[in-house]
Amino acid sequence: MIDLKIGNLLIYLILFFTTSSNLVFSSTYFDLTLISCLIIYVLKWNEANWFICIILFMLGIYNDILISTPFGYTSSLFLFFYLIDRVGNFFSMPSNTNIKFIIFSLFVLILFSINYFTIYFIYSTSMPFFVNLASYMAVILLYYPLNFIIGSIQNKYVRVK
Amino acid sequence: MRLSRNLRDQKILNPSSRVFIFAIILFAFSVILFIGRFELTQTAKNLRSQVTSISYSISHIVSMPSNVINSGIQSIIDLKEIYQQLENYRKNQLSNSSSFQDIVSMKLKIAQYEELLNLTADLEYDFVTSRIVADFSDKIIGTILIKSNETEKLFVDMPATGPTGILGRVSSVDNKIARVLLLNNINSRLPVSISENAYQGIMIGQGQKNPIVEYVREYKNINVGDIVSTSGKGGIFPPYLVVGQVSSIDGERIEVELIEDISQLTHIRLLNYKFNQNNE
Repeated sequence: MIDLKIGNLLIYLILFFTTSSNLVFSSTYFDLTLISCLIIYVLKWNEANWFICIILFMLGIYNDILISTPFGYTSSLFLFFYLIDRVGNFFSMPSNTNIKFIIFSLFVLILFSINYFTIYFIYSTSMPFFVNLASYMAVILLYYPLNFIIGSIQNKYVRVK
Repeated sequence: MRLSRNLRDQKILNPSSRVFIFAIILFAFSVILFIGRFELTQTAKNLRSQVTSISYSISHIVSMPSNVINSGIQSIIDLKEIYQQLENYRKNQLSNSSSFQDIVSMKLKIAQYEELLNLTADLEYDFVTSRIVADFSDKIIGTILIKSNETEKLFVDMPATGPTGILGRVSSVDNKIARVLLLNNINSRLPVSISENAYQGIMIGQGQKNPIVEYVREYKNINVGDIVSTSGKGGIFPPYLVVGQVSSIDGERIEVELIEDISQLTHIRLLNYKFNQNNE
């Protein structure tokens, strides 16, 4: 069933807005793709709605076209963070923000390592370590504020569960 | 026993689990797309080219609030820079006027020498100016989006320059938007000449770091501060366009500081240079 309630549309619009902002906002320290991943991770999704997966996949492809990253890169990231959120929920951790934060930080740092070593070994070059790490650290630091803001919005307007 | 099996089956087949499996399938598909380098196929190139205009139009509307804030901040920064430049201009006015005279006389001399050597058509090309609409230069895959329209007749591999030096080349063109692959892009390769002795090499983009020049036989003769320019080999870029200066040398690794700073530009020049056409 395609779930197109106003609340869910608002979520899709936030993600669409964040992804589209790549066009006008570019910063070394704030990676909007990573911030979108964070939003996907902290959102409380309707677990029975398959349409979300398609939306995330399409948004990923849209982001890839916009910033010229290889096809499938952003979709993999979006769906990966959606899946780890689902796995966390399966192990009954949705209410424990601290454990969710630790899991998120861990995966963000793993992602940074994969990116760093892929570029090092495939392109024989290295990214500036601390400059790149800064954008990953920024997204980790944004976890609690964004979790609070999105939590407040969802509790007020969205009844997805 | 049977009851517990039924319960387990129900748990596997409930809508939530099915969505989870669907998400895993889509994730696997995305990874295959990424690892399989689908973007290198012609279909993907066409798809990207066609969708870029549409996505640009949509994102331009959606990102309008960010655009307003961003342009406001940019205006303040620009204003500050204008004051700074005005101050510098006042200080250097005298020396600049004499340098300008030198450049003009040098250009006239070069024109005379070229005429004597019967050097003509190869380096004659005009240019079109295009506005930058999106800047992804600070990413490892450094690109910019520029405005294009049918009257400008942009084409793939068109060299892109700033006021003083080369920036990159056009990698895809659509009715409204064209994408320029910058020199710092990790996929960028540019044949260059170093110093007045024209030592040949290939400049390779390094993402957020300065590009490096490789395959230089006479790397021991190169010094920090030597001018790096396009060699014209390969036929995509015209020769003698300034790229930058050698900023450091570490063995065979020659690092180049680019002369153009894309973040300071609002418009770029696209050179109507076609090596094969000139030869015809």
